[in-house]
This record gives sequence, C-alpha cells and structure tokens, in this order.
Amino acid sequence: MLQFINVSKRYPGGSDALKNVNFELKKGEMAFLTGHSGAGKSTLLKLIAILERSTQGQVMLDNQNIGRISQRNVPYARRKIGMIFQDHRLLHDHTVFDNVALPLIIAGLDRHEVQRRVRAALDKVGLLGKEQRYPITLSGGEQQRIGIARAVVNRPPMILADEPTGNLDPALSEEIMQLFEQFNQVGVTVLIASHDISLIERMGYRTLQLSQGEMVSNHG
Amino acid sequence: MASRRQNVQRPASLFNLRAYLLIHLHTFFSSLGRFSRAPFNFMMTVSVIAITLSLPSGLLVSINNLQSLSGQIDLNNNISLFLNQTVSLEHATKLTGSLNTDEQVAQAVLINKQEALEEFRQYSGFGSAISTLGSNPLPHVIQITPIASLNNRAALELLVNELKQQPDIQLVQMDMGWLDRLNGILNIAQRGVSIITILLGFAVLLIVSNTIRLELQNRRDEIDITRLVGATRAFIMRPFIYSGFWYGFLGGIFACILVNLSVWLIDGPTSSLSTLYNSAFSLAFMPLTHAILWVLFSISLGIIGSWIVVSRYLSELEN
Repeated sequence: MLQFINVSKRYPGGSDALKNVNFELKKGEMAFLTGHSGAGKSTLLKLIAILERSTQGQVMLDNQNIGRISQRNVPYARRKIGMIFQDHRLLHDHTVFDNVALPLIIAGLDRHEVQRRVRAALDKVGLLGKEQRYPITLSGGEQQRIGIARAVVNRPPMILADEPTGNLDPALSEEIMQLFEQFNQVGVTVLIASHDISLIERMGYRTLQLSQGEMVSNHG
Repeated sequence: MASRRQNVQRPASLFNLRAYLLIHLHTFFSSLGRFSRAPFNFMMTVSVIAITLSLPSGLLVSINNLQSLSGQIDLNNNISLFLNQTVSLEHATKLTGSLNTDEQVAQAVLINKQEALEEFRQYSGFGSAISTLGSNPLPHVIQITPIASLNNRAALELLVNELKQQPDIQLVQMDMGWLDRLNGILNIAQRGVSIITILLGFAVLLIVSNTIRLELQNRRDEIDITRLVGATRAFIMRPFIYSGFWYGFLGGIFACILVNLSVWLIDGPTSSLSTLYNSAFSLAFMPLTHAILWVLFSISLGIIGSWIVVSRYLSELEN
C-alpha cells in the first residue's frame, strides 16, 4: 500500500529532514510512527499527504509514485488517504454534518448518498444525533471523532493520523485507538504518528522509529 | 474491499454533469449567503465598484445626449440665400414666393435690403459711415427653413447645392461650422471616455482583487482543510469566482441605477432650459443595451479580478 524507497528530504537552507528512509506498509497493516520532535515524523507524513515532495527516492502509494505526480492529480491521490490531525482541523463555522460531508461534496456525490454515508460514519464514531451541532459545542474527544468520521467517510484505503491523541486523556486516547483498530479490522491500512510510548507498547503493533531523519527501528 | 474502493473513485473520475451543476448551484447561492452574514462589507465594495463605473458610463450618457442635441440643432438650421446685387425687390419677392412652394422648404422669408440697411444703421452704430456710402451695399436675403424631414446633413447639403445652381443667388450659407466643431469636441470626449473606462476598469479589477485577497486570508484555514481532504483547484476557486461575479454583477447594476438617477435629476432643469430655446429636448436615459453591456463588463472584471488573485494564491501553496 505504502512504500518509501531511499527517500531523502532536504529543506531549502540545508537541513536534512529525512535521510535515506526505507519501509513498506502492506495493505491492511497497522503501524505506529514514533520519534522525538524534530526526528522527521511530520516531514514523513507531509510526503505522504503530498504537502512536500521528496528530494530523493520514491514514495509509492497504491503503486503510484506520488512524489512525481502532477499538481493536477494531487487532489485525487489525497482522496486515497484519510487524514487525522492533532488539532482536528475542523471548520468551526460549519455543522458536524457539513464537516464530515466535505470530502463527499468535493468528490461530487449526490445529496442522498452524502447523507447516507455521513450518518454511517458518524454512527461508527458514536456521534449520531449530533449532526446539527457546531464542533465548538462538543468536547475535545468528540471533536477528534468528527475528524475521524471525516477521514473515513469516503472509505479511503489508508488512514494517516498525526498525534491523534495528543490532547486527550488516557481513557479517551484508548477509545480513539480502538476506533483505529476497528477500521484496520475491515482492511484499512493505518499509520499513526505518536509519541505516547506506553500506549503504543500496550497496543503491540509494528513501530517505525525515526531519529534525526533516519529510520532507526522498524519492527512489529 | 477492493470493489468497494472502486466505487468510491467512480464519481470523481466520471464526469457527472448533474452533480457538477448541483455543486455550481450550491456554491452560487452559498457565496450569496456568505455576503448576507457580512452585508455591510459587501455593500461597501459593491458601492465602490458602482461609483467607479458610474463615472465612465455617466460620461458616455452625457455625450450621447449632446450628440442627439446637436442633431436637433441640425433640424432647426436655417439657410440664408444672398441674392445678386442686381436682383430687384420685385424679382426677389417672386423668388421667395416660388421657394415657398418648393416641397423641401417649410418657410421662406425675404429680408428686404433697404430694411436691412435701416436696421443695420440703427443698431450697429456705424450710421454715419453708412450714410457716406453712395449705394446700399447689402443684397436682398431670403431665409429658408427646410422641412422637418430633411433631418440629416447629406439631404441638407443636397438642397444647398440645388439652390446654388440658381443664377440669382450669389451665396448660400448654412452655418454648420460650429456644429462640426461641436462634433469634433464630442469625438475627443468620446476618446477620453474610452481612456477613462480602461483606467477605471483597472481600478475595479484592483478593488475586486483586494477584496477577494482579504476574503482568502480570512478563510485560509478552510482552504487548507479542503485541500487536505482532496479538493481540486477548481473546487477551491469556485466560491471566490462567484464572489467576484456577485461584486461585478451588483456593482454594474448599481452603476446603471446611479447614472439613470442622475439623468432623472438633471432632466427637469434641462427641460425648462430647452423650453426657453423653444426646443422639446429632454435628456435620454441609458439605453438598455448599454446597461446590459456595462453589467457584463463589470461582471467580467469581477470574475477576472478574483480569478487572478485566487489562482496566484493557490499556486503559491502548491509545490
């Protein structure tokens, strides 16, 4: 599903954010990405989201070298990834429903299909009945669930989460992680960047560890 | 799972006209809805555009009115026939009579050279100088008013040439020189309006660009988020292009309203002035075709202005 082949990223100014990174995530696999801040985690995620392009090497998503696709095709490649952020990145002047529906509206689905899928996604994250609320009126954990519902609503083959539990207490973090496990169980590839070592160890999935731009450990 | 995934892809890759139109319709009205949440800012921009565009369109209406006014003066233009010195009063009277029967002539009036001299002596102040002249230097003059249907220059000039053929007539004078000069001035004014239109068109472009730029900054997060969940460039640009459309559309319409309101306000005094000149002249409003063209012009400025800013902004974000 996702493959990094000799990937390096150097930002203008000379600092090497990633050095010769190699790894592969198989279809339906779930893994954690760890490392101290500055280790290159966010750069790696940005390469997958095509927010940055690699200086060297190939980033393959679904057998496509996304580091080299044209700007015109970037949006379509992004639709294969459901992205979840630490700060949720919700539209605060839109309802929960509108937030979750956004990827579907972008894809041009008709109204009934949008309604059906948004309800299904909200049901999965346990927010059914709160469609017409505004994100700001919900708790941090609930806001993160809106973000997750938005990420999975168009059923992407891969989920990418950047510190999804960063602002949540352990109990809520556990619930969020269980959600990711559920998606993984139906075949979705999941990559979660986190520095919550205890949680990662408890869950016992494969862990990719970055340090100063290099992949120092890559085991399950 | 694999087949389900393909289902997800389909609507995006297949050109679904109905969904496409629905998106457009949705954006069209939601952009209007956004304005209703900040009506003051919106109306301020629309007013600036309207006032800016009302200047060139108002000038154009003024020029059109002056042109039609000069056309009306054409109609009332008299032709003076200066007869040969040798023509007698009797003959001149006969000639006037025959001219009065001419179907191109509404009225012919003879100005007797004796009377003209008396009048000249009385009013000019050259009385004693004229007394020293042995004979009357003035010829008989016949003043002709052409019929109303002779309302263009070419027809009038044809009549003038016809009259020139007559042996008793020495000089035919139709004083249109000042009309030519007026038309010359109007041509210059028209050129000036074209230049002003171009300059103020740029001004409108900049006004829209600047407004959209502020809107872009306010909605930076929204743009980032929609980009992250896979929005195409067109999807992100669309609402801003529609904003530009609304600015241009309403700005253009208000400009036309402003101009016609001004015409209406000036029309009263103009009519009373023209009655003093025995003329039924009244100001014409902006023709509908002009109004439509101005609104279309304004709409295209709005769309182009927003398009430039948004595509520049998105290009900066892309890598």
